Amino acid sequence: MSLTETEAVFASIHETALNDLLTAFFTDRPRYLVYGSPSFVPATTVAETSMPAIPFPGVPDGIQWRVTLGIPKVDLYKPTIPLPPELTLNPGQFSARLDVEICLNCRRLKIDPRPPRPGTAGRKDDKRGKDGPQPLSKVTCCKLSVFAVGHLEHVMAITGEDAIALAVDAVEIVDIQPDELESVVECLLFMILQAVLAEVRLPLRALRAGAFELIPVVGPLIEDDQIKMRGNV
Amino acid sequence: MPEIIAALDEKGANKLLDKAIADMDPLGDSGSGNLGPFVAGYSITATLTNGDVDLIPPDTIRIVDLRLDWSLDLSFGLDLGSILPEFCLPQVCVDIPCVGTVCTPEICVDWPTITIPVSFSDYLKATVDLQLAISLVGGQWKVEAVVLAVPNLQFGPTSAALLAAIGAAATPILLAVPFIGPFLAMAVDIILAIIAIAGVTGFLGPIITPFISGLRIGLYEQSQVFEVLPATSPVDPKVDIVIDVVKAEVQHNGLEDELVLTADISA
Amino acid sequence: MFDSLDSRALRRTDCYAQRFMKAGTYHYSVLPAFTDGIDRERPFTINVAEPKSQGEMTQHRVAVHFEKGAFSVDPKETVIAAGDLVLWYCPVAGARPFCIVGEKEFFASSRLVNECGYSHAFGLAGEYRWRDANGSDVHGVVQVRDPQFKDRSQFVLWRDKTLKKGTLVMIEGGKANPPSVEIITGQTVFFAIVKGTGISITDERLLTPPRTPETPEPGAAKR
Repeated sequence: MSLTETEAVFASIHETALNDLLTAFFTDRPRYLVYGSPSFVPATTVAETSMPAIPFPGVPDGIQWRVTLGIPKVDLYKPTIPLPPELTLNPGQFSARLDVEICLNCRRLKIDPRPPRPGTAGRKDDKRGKDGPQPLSKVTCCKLSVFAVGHLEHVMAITGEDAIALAVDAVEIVDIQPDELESVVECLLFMILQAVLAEVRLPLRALRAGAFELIPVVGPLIEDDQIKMRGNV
Repeated sequence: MPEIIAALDEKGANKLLDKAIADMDPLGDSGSGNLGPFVAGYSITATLTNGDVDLIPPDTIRIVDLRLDWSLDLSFGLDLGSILPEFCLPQVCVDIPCVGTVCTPEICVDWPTITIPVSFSDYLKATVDLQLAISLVGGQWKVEAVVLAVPNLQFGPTSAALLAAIGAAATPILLAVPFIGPFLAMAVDIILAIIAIAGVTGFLGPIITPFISGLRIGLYEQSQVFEVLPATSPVDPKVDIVIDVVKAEVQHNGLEDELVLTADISA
Repeated sequence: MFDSLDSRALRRTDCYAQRFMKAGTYHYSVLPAFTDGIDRERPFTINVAEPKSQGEMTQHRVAVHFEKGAFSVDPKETVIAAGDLVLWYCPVAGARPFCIVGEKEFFASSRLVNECGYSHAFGLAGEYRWRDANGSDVHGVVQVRDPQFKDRSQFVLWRDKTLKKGTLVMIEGGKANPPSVEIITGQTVFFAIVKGTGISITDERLLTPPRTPETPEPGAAKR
């Protein structure tokens, strides 16, 4: 069987090279791996992304948090990396494994002895003080190993060219008890991973190292540890 | 297994070469060459048009009927005294009434040296075999198709046409030479006989052949540091990878011959 | 392209002839064309003796040479009898156009007065409308036609016979006779000036357009 089959052009990228691309992306733009509220990340830089704190009545400046992701290692079907039994890598899918660290600033709150003023219930009191975000006092973190499976989405890159993004279909964290807590954390990370990986839009041009022109007719699809495309010049 | 594979079938290779050849800078040259016994200065421009591509494993691209259109300006100097016989006006006598006979002396004509400029355009077709050549120079990966051997270019009809054009170009120049009128046809015939088709072929060959024999068609060119994504803000710098290895060959896969380019990359 | 027909600037295919009717010594010079007002030297001589008793006109030839940018004649002194004609010509390839300038007013190739002539062999076909560059009304036409040879014998006929036949144009009283002549390329026309006001035979294409009363002189202020 020819590479191009019924089309004029063929291109493929092996999972090894795909992981190189992901490593390059997250190394050059590490802020896509680190998200935190102002006490952890005062401002967005190349290294980290600043997000609002979680507002809660009675918690001045809100609940301060940080999530740090490791660079995901992707496995294209056929499976190479073992997965927990809850996940299966099907044809046309990818799996990913990464470490995640979640941190909270668990500070003790001071109870105001004065009675609450009338009309102040429900008022947001998480406004930032004039001295800036609350300093970190008691950072509490946990590290998790996260597994995911997903599929490719054909998208447009910021440059306007054809690109792919990794769309997460399911996430599994091993051994959190009780199971309901595991489900909640998996849900949280499912949404976080979907959002993060949707930002990683790899141009099809890069998947073929700039060789030739390719207007996709078939794919991009996952097959034989590769992402493959066929099309016209 | 290579990390990245890109392949074209013959139809795709044809389109690739159509574009690569059409995008080439116009070819040109100037200098001097032997036009029979004369030395002619020339300037020439040429453009190429792709023919039909045949991929031949392991590393040959054959282009059938590659077309070279060329346009030539040449000029050469000619001492008419070296080709025309010496010519003298005989003594002329007139009878002037009441004066007598007055005679002019014999006056010999100096044939001058003239310059004949010729403009001529034509084309030729040739079948050329090109070999894949890969290089990394100055941080740039290049895969080019380079001519393997000088094809046997046929100049016969072109030479005849150029010889006729030389004759046509010589005529108005000669017409400006005093006393040439009666010798004009003789002069043109002598010029064309001296140069002859062999002289034209001997002139054209060394000028035009290098356009084919020196042909390098770019098939792939990328910086070794390959930009995946450009910088889009101060907090989103560009994303690069390194292309470590590039290879190219012609493979026979299934029932098709394919031009296959492979690469290995690192973050 | 056309042949340069101008008696003021003699070239290799031109001759200037002057008859000397009175005995005497006539000094002259050979100068680059159009410079006759500049150089006063007259190093060459025509010595005219008394006329021969029953003599016919005798023609004498003086060859003009051009070497290292300067003109000379051979012989430097020519002895003739009154009534004889002297004909100047230049056989040197690459010589500049020249003029013959004598001490006497009648003796000048750029202003043809009496008993003189100018010949020109025409090398290029075309219509040559000539007139006097010095302002008189004398004018004429020479039609030059290229020969069409059907075979070599016609070429030989042209070379050996046709070229030997000259055409005469007489100029007297401000008129050319005949005013229009037709010749073959290579043939010679001899313009014989019986009596003139100091004329030239000049192709009108070599002259600036004639000034009309409406055309101001160059450099003149506008009124």
